[in-house]
Amino acid sequence: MIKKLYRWFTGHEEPTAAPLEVGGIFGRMTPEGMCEIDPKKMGPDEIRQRLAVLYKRHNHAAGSLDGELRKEAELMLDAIVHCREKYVDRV
Amino acid sequence: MSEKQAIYVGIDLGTSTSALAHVRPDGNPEIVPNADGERLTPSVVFFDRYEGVKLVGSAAKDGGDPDRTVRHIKKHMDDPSYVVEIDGEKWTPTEVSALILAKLRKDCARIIGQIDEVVITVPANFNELARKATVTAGRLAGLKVRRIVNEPTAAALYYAHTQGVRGRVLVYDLGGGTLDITVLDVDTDRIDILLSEGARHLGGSDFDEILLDLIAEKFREQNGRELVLDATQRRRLLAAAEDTKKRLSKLNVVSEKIGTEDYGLAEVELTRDSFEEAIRRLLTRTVMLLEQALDTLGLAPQDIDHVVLVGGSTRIPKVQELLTRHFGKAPVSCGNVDECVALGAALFAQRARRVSEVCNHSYGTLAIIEDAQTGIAKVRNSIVIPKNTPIPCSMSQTYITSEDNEELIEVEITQGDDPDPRYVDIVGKISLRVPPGRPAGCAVTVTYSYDENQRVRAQVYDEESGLRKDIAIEYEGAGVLNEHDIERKSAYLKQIRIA
Repeated sequence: MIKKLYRWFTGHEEPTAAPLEVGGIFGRMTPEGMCEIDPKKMGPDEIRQRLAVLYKRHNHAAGSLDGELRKEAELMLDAIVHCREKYVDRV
Repeated sequence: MSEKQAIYVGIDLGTSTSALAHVRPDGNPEIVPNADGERLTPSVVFFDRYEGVKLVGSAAKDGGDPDRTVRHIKKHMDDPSYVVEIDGEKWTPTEVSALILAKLRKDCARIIGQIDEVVITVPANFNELARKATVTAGRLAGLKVRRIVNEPTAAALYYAHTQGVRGRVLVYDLGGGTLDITVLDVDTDRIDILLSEGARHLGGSDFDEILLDLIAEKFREQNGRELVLDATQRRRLLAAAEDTKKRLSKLNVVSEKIGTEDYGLAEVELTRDSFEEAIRRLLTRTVMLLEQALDTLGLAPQDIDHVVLVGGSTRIPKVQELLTRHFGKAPVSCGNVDECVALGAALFAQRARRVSEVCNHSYGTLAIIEDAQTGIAKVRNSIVIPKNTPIPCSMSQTYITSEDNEELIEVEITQGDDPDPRYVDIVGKISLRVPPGRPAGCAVTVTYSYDENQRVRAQVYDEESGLRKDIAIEYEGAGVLNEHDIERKSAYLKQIRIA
């Protein structure tokens, strides 16, 4: 779908959330795996920040024109909320 | 001869209910009731089998075959492939919405006279496709849509008008289908929107689904049988669950008799606590959106002077409790939370110039981005107009061609602010043919314009040849009408009976 087009010559920030591999294995992943968080190595603040980045991405994707991406985003939002409640706080 | 009095009309085309308001000669807005005497018209359409009548409102909601009844169509306005099929005839979300608007136009014109121009509200998180579909629905209904405005903006305008507030306001709009959070500065009757964030499929109808699952579970515990057997029955039960939800906002415990004597009866007791626990995960999403909004602006909760509630779902006590805890002060109601969007839309029709709005999405293009430090190049979403830029606006970025002998410059227009192309929508494409035989590195300027109706135009300009091309974004799909469809359907809708 994407091919080389132009080179942008000013600086650019890399995304803070790495792309997630999703697909057939998605259903077998844990919420922690889906969110790429490791509670043994990350404190609540770090987890909160990671989840905030993911939430922004997938909340937007939940309104995508692409139906498959919308479904994937809803699954991710569930996983994000699960981790938030488990490691950060509950409403 | 007297000059014709201008009529300022606003319409809240809601997920659950819709309303039309106008500005009275004294400058205050008021709701215009429909022909059934109701201030709010349920956004429900019933397709009659026998006379071909399209019932809209309470008559459609309160009875009839669920398979011929369309509810919550607004949730599908941003889906290019969604259609409803009844009696072999396909209806797009735009057409179903047009039936609701036509009912409002016809009914309310009896009271305030012929309605020509209107402002229609949309959720702040509506994408370009859904906004365009809303304007088209108005056209099909015989209305000239002068502007569309975000629901929280309309509500904030009404709040500022009635309360005379100044300062920084956060509007928390939890409606039937979406959550919108808007932060704005109010100075007397001047309003500057700073940010709008939204979440799709996060509203009252989602809570109804969860509550119905809770009721079905209790029914199963008592009878050992499934309460919901098919989609038709589920639709019918959802309407009952909505009523139960409303009671749970006023009572701590409600008891419902459900089922039939033949199939099995059950007396189900529901507590507010159990309902609020069941919707907890969706409420967590609302908190995360709230945090995102404040983080984006670099604001702390105490920087917000007023938190204003809009939308029927803000009646849920837990929602108010969460906001009180988050901001350290109780939120205030925007008068009638169900009507303030329509009332604000009417005010907006009269005084749009005093409101400064922002771009609801980022728009950009796919480009190869080279990391200045590592030299690694990746295809990324390069933003031209960032989200929350004041509108109308026009912004440009200059790129260079990446290969020798490029004869076709292709600019893919993206919607969304994620740098990863996978998470943005490609909403258009411009192809510009340029002279052959050129080396890589030719400058190409991409310019996007975002107008006050939140519509995007894009232009690509090749600096060396002076060639340029511009387009307005168009969408394709089974649920999207083209100009020919619109003319044909408009004529058709004028002929059918809407009651």
